[in-house]
Amino acid sequence: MMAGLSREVRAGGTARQGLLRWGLVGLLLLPLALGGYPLYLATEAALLGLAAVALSLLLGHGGVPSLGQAAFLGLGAYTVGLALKAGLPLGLALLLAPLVAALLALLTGLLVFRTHGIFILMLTLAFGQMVYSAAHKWTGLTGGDDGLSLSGLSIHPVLLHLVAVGVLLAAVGGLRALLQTPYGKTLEAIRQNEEKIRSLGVPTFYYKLSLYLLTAALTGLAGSGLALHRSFISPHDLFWLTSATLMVMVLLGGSRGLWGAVFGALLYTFVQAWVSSFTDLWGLFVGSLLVLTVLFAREGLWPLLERRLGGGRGNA
Amino acid sequence: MLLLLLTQLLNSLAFAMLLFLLALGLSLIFGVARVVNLAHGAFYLLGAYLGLALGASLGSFWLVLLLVPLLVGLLGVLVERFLLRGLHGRELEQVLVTIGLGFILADLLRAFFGAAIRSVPPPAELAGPLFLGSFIYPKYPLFVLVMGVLLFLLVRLLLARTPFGVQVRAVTADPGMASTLGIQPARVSLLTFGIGTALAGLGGVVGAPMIALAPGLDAQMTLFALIVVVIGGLGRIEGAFWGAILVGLVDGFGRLFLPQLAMFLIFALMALVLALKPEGLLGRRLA
Repeated sequence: MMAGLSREVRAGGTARQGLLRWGLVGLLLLPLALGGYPLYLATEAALLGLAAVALSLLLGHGGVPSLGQAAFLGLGAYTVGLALKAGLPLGLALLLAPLVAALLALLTGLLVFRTHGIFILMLTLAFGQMVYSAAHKWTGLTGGDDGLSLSGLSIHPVLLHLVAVGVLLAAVGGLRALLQTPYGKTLEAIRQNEEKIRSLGVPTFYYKLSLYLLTAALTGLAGSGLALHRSFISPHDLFWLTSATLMVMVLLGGSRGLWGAVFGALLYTFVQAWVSSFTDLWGLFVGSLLVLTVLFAREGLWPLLERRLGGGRGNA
Repeated sequence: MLLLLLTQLLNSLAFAMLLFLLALGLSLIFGVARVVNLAHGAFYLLGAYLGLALGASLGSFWLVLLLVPLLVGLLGVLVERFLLRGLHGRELEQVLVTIGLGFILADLLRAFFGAAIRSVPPPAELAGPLFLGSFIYPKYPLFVLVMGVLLFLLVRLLLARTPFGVQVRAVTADPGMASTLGIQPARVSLLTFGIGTALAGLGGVVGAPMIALAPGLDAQMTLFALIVVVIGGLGRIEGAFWGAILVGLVDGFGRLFLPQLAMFLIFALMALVLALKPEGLLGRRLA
């Protein structure tokens, strides 16, 4: 897909690329002035964006096609919800959420990474659905179909939005820096040719597993944010449609470079809000978008924008 | 107690045969086209609803049993030709397209047939119980059981003996080599995709009297089929058959003895197989 290791073009293009990124951040912050429903959607986009960035790192840079991200999102949400119900302070609850998600990633990752390629996708899907059916059936803990309500808590929407955007930007910055470290370069190499890297003596299994844990933790954090934001957790958000939705966001924006995922999440969230005002054929919408993105926008829209407007290579 | 166990054994095996129909299609398609068809459950549900609709207007179960797989298979052929062919060799993209397609199909079915749970009666010839001394058992699951075993034997024979079967095995083993021998992998792939989806449609017609139709059933069946092929091993029909029987038994007896944990027993079984033999019990090592 993308030939060669990502090498930033430090030319005139980068200034305009930077401008494009600031434009994206501006779009995320703009609804602060509007408040109300636009702000609600923007917070949703920022939090889903965090999960999409995690998947983008996993898929685009680690080469791990995970279709079970909804489980981590849901686990983070339920952890925060249940911890708050149990009377734990919010800070501790927000710390627990990524840890619990990472724990699931550890348990399933040990098995998932015994296989390769498309099998990883099948297994992450299967384990994701396992968590979904647990959330659905374990009504004593999760409330089952009725969901879990976090009514007692109120965080100011502006504060929540600022924190969400802050965490998102910190994650994008931190992860892009991570990709420049030897660890990140090795991941990139594993994605391109795992056999070769393994034959050089690199324990590729642990590289992939650690990346999986990291992205699961981030997704769990995003899930905890969503729980606070929506003050409600439904088991249906753990269904694999959510995993596919995250996949759509990543592919729509472009799976590499992480900014694409942020753009994809923002675009998807607002298009979805618009579409849901005239149809409830949810699966039809996500499914068509997925098929169309794969068929017609292979690289994603963000690299396209970067090339058109930013003058850069649209890579990395 | 013994009779209860026997009843549950037969129930489990009948369900296993249904899973076999699904896993067989999934496995054949994967072997030849290298596509994991995650729309498989949606094709199953399409077959079931088509069976329901056509059964009401045609009135003959047997005609429906013949017609629906043809229709679903035709759709499968169109999907392969117009959506998947262009993405040849791009595994991830192909899988994503099948996922999208599955969501689209399932949602259209929900819009068309409604979200209510529909149960389909078995055909008159197969309705009612069979009396074997003190043992009473419904006829329909027995029919499914016999049909599944016969189909397994038939497909094995077809793969071993017919020219098309040989081509399927050749393309499964090595598409490049097969094409140098004058086989057209693209054509075999197209037909296999049609056959595989037709099997899913057949599964829908056959399964409808056993499992009530409802939205969400598609995802459940896709998941079951995936678990079966992961356990049994992809790309071999024996893997699909014995994997289906194992999953059917664990599911059936799990429901009987540990109803809360039945689904988790299946996942535990899958985890165990993965830990011991990642390529599946009867699978070949795939790169």
